[in-house]
Amino acid sequence: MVDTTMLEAPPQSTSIPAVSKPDRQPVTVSKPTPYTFDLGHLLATDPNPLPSTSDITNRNEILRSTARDGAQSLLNELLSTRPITSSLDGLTLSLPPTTTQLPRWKPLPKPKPPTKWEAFARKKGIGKFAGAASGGAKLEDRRKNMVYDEESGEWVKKWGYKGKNKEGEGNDWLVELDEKKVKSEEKNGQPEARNVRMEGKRERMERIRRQERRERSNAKRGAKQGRT
Amino acid sequence: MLREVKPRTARTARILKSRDPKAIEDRKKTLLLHGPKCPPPLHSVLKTIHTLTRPHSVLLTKKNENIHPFEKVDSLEFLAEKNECGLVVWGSSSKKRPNGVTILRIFDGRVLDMVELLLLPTDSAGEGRKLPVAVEMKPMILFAGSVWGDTSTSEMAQTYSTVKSLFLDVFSGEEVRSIDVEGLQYLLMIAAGEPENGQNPMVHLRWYKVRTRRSGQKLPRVELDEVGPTFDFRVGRTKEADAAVMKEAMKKGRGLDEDFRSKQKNVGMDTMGDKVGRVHLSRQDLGQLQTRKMKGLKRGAALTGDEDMADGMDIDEVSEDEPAKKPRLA
Repeated sequence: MVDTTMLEAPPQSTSIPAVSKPDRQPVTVSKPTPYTFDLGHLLATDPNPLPSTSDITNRNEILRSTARDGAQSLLNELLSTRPITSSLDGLTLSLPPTTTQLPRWKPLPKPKPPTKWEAFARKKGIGKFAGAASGGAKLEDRRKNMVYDEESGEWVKKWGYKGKNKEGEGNDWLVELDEKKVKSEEKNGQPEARNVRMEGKRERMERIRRQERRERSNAKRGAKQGRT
Repeated sequence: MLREVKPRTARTARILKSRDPKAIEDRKKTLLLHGPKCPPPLHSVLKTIHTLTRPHSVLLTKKNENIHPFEKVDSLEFLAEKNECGLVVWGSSSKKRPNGVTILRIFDGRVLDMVELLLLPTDSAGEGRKLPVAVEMKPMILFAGSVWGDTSTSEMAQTYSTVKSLFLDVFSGEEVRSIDVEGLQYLLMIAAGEPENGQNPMVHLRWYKVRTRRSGQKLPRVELDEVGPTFDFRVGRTKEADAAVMKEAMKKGRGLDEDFRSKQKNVGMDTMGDKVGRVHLSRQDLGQLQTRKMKGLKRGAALTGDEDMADGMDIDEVSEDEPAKKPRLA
């Protein structure tokens, strides 16, 4: 919004004679109820009651002064909140998406019904539905939750059964020990009664617990801020 | 209803295809129609709407008998479909309802909602005044008056929200993502007074040309000049949209918003309309650069230089540094 203190700003300097420059006209508008804007439509709504316009003689004057205030505040809002880019063609103002939705003219297009082959392929889990249980989603839809495994050259799930996040959890034939960790544990004299193969899973569970803790504390913080 | 047309040429097939429902719709076209009697003040309303919505409007000047939108909408629906229009403005004057303008909105070939506005006699200030508006120029729109901000469920609030939505549909123009600052030239004010002596508030339509003056501050001072005609209406009969149909009409396709206003920062368009992208690369590792191979520059040359030279063998540096290729797991 426009800085309202501008309204009270004194004339810039006293050296300029008053004749050549009449007293500065304000560029801000203050109304009891603020305007609402929908800049996507270049629309302003002034919910303040209009002065009586039943008299035809001064109707146009009343409307013009109301319109001037509205135009001023709409332009102020546009020029002060929207990014302006200058190019060779001139200054361009980018507009936000519209907030007042207008009804459509024709209904939304219906999705194409599956062809006989597509229905069959889905049922059988072949073609673009390959690898899914019957009635599953398309492969390209499923790939959104999958990641390419460089080593095997295959697409694997990011999480879930045999997911990528379960790598090194008990299905490797060889497990490398972290030398530093082992040494420090020996120094501290901790009992070595853990399954080294389950180290990966333990770490993942620990990550999950930490994330849950973070989520809880964030929710608590959010509730506290909402209250004040 | 129009009969089902089976395209016989590729051209008609294309035309018919362009009439199919779209996920993101084009701007609605407006159909402007005369009733059996359309006196000059009423005609000037239609003419003004036509001027402001060209080339997205069709003005038909023949008289149309036997059309009563609040009794039977068949012929209007037919004409709208025939002319590919989503909005119909019907101007007709009768003894009972002098100077009536009815605005109808079409959804799926049926009338969605409509409002009747009765033109009132005004002073002659705006008579014959031109609207200096270029084709497809987007107006700034101001709704002034307490009824426009009324969100209660009273009958009057409902009526006026329909009126507001219809006016916005008629006048707002193409939905755009950016606008030239030079294009912010004119303002349309749609003002509604207060309800007086039990009558619905009047609706005033006024057009103004915007003049900006330097104010010595960052923002300019705005002054307005009256242009174009002046219209004052009294709201007559209305037909609100059926809630279920309106809900259907307000549906948006899934994920369309993101497509329409892509968030990608590094993809843009240049002045020729070509797609331009900015690609970010990490710093190039010049240590790995393969320059001209010379025996004297080899890494091991200083230590074992004599032996190498004696052998005269050319050791491939790259293969030396690279780790052995991992065998693919079956």
